[in-house]
Amino acid sequence: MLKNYLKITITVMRRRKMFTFITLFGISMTLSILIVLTAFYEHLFSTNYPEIHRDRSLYATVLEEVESESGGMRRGPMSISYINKYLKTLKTPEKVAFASIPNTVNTYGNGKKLKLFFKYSDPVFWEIMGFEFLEGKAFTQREIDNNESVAIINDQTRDDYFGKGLPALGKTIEINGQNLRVIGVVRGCPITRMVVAADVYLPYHLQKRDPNNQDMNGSYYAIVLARSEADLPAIQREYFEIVPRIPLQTYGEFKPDRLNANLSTYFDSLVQDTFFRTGEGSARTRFYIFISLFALLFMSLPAINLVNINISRILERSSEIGIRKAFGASSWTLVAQFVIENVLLTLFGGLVAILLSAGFLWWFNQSGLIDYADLTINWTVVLVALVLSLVFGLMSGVYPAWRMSRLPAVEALKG
Amino acid sequence: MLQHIFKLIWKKKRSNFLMMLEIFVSFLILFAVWSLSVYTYRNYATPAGLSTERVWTVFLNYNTDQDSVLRINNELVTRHVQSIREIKSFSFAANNLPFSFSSSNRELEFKGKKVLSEIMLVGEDYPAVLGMSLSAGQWFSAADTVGGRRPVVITRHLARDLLGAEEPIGQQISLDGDEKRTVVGVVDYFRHKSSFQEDDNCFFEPAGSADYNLLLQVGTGANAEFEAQLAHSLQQLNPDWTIEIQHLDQMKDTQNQLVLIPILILFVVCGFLVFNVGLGLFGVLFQNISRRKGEIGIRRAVGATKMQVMGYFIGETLVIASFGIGLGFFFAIQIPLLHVLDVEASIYVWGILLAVLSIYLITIGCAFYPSRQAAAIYPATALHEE
Repeated sequence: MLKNYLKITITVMRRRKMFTFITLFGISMTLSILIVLTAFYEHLFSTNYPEIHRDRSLYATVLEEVESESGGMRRGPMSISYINKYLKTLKTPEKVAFASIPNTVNTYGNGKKLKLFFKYSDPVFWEIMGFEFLEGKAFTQREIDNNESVAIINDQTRDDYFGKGLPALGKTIEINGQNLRVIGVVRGCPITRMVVAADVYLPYHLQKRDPNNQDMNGSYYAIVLARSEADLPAIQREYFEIVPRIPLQTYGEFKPDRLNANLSTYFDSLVQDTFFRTGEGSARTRFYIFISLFALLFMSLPAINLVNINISRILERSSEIGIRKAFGASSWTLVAQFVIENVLLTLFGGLVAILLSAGFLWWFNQSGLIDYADLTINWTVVLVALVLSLVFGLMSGVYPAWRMSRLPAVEALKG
Repeated sequence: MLQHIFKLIWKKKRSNFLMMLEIFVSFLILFAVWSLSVYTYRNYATPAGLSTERVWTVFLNYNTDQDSVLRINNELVTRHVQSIREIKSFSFAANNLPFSFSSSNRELEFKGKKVLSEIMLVGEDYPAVLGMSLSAGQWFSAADTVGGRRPVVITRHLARDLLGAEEPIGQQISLDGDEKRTVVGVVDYFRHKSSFQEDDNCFFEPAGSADYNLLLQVGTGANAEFEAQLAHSLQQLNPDWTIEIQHLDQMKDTQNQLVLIPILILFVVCGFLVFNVGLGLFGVLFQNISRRKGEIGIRRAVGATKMQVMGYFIGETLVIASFGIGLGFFFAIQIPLLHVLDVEASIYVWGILLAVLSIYLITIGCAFYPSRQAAAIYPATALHEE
């Protein structure tokens, strides 16, 4: 019986090639776009190499010193002394690390110009992150205490600076006029992971600007690792209780009287704290409403299209339904056939979509638009999207067919 | 004729409802995309007011805050740069160099009116380096600063925003409350964030000792080798400095890409959606027309020409589209009326016009082939089938 249904389905699909193409195109294009967009989303926000503990980490990225009267504001990352005083002393977290915002520098090794991103960090940074070391190992407190000039580089920098495939351990690299000994080579990560990505990592004591800087503002982010995800709210509570009591500095005419600080999950630190000032709740809500409305509009279009096409196709097949009814087919047999037709068409569309998006992601990963890009298909999303398109297919294809199959055969035959 | 079509469609409004809904949603999407395109294109077509050709930037950091040291370092760098033949002109500038990622805003006040503006702290030779020309007054020089006078040069946009119709040259404006500034010059445009930046407020002030990034206009002979030498020689002045050389045209390209890539992605996605809708409409129309053979037969039998039948079906599709557009127009017009976004209203007018035009073009395109099929039907065959 099933084989019979399959045969009918394929015959119908081949008979009306145009309709089959339109439906398939709609399903597969929409699904592909959805798959690719979620792949980008995952790439940006999920737990990924090397931030293997992102789900139980909090990120402090910005301080805002506000002068309420004039509305003036100083905004930026923190200094090491601020992090040591107020974040490293928190009791609830397991570990607290810091790393600087990425800086760029040119180095003219091997007769060509290399533009490198470099970052300063503390030893804890290497304990929290899951970097894969291809050569050597991370620096520890010992190197910092002994004031050693050392660096950790990624594999791409090794290949560009020292030559492809050559070991770099123990060799020196010139950065900012300093000669640094390479003590480790890590597998690199894409630049989109802002907190961790760099070509060269240096211990913080090598920083040229006075490391005893007592200002709050500096060029560092803090990464706070919790023992478990459940501890995150407790850590935020502890920190936000301290923040209002932190003494504020004055800068000549500018006398701030309020401090806003953030300690957020990765998504929040990237989306909210970058685009919105702390406490700008309404703007944020409006932004999200706007985005969701646009997405809804986007998704509804292919759905309406699918429903529209399906309904007019069923009308076309009213005579087929009439004849089959006249020869004794029950409503259920007819419905079963339409269900199978729809499922097959959707699955086929899904398969095309998976192939298309897998092809695109593969192309994107190796295109070098983002070094070390590692976009993959999220199978949960594929499944949900397939189920959704099935629901729309069934609603629009099977329900009218079922109603028509309840009509007397003569009516259906008349069309 | 039109009345006739309206009546027919109104009677079948339930079966045409989905098509109208589809047109409605497509209209809204096209409206958003066209408005964005018009906005972006307008900005792109506005003169930039600066040239990036053979301009290099040196992101220099002395890594100190001591004022006396800064002054000595600045003199050291000035003398060094002046001694290099390949460097035609140079200027110090603050961190917010053109096409860089930083920006700096201050509040200006004139006769009680307050306006936010970008502040550029720059040197005397800044216009020479960037090929800027002034439309009124002149650039500030050392002579302007005698007697505690603090000269500024402002953009035309800022003059309009802050001073209104008043003649800008010689006006006193105050910065952050009370520090008085005198306007000595006006530039027409200075769009320094990307080629797609909206014309905006900006003013220039003489750089202080803490503004020590460099902008260089280099000669035609400046190549990668020269760049390496320059970096090396600057580093030799003091090993504690951080130095990074970039080319302004490349910085501009980077900024442009950051604006363009999301727009391109949006275009591709919308393009597929609209194509999808077009295909869907085509299918549905094809289906509808083949079900109305009898009607076509009668029309032909009572004397309608082929062209009239074709025109009728295209007209019918256009009327359905108009219903969808009408509803979409009602929603789209709310955006300029309610001032949801701070953009010129004419952009929305263009957005609506272009969206209406493209919807009509798409529907005509989709209706053309099925309508021709309908017109080709012989009345005898059609009526016989019936």
